[in-house]
Amino acid sequence: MRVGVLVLVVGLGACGPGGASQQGFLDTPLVTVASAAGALQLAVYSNPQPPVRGNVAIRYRVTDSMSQPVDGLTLEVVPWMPAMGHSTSVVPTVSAVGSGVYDLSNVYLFMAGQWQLRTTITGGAADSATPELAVQ
Amino acid sequence: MGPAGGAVSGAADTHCIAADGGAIAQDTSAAACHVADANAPMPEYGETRYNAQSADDDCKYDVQLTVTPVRQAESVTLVVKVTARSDGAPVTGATAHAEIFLNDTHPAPNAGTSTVEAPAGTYTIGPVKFDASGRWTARFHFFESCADDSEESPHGHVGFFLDVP
Repeated sequence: MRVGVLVLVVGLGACGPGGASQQGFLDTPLVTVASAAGALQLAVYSNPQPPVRGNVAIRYRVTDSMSQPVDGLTLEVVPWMPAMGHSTSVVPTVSAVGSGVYDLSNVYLFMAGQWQLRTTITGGAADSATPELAVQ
Repeated sequence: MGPAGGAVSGAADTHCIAADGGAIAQDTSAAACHVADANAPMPEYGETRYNAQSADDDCKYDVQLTVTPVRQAESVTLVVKVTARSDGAPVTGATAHAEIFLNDTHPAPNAGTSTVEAPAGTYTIGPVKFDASGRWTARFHFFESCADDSEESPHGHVGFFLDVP
């Protein structure tokens, strides 16, 4: 199973709560999902948004039940096409930016269709989430 | 303009040759095509192949690859001709897709790639761009809408090495 592994990035604090557009992400999320345990909310942004097939940048903004940003998480992400039963050969890289923001690069969604981002959450929470993206 | 890259010469593919020297040809059936289960396991890919002709990983198809000259940052077109190993007939409607990457953290850059089938069983995929030199993999996926959970499923895949100077 190929997964993206969190890489802590120190000193990239330029992206505050209002800075979602600084790296090409819109201010409005593509989708917001609750984690499996219900303790976290993941607002998911893509660049481009909506996503087109190819290499897509993804941003998670993670908050708790009080809408407070959650840092210190370790995220493992597997892009998965449920209808096709396959992942990708490229492993996403996850960078913690701060203020609850986690940026995913090398998310290689090489076919149009419905993709899941199967996300395992550890480090301060043991949880999972599965945002779904319609790739054009 | 420097030298162009392309498919990589190497040992001939023999994974679909039986111990007695006979050809292994897995039949496929449209009746075996259905949507994957949500909890389907990760498909197992075969080795990436040298040269420009190989059977797919499950010995269902013969795949012949033609590549326009490969140079960094230039548009490249990949043409794959797919025939059934069982009878040599062109494999139509396979909705071929290419997954192109240098390594497991470096996919090909976005280039607006699309696929056109013409003539029947021949898939032209492009443009494709490469943003680094090295030995890339172009893995072709066929009939991805069919789950890869039975021997007769039309689902297939094969990867070829491509050198980019």
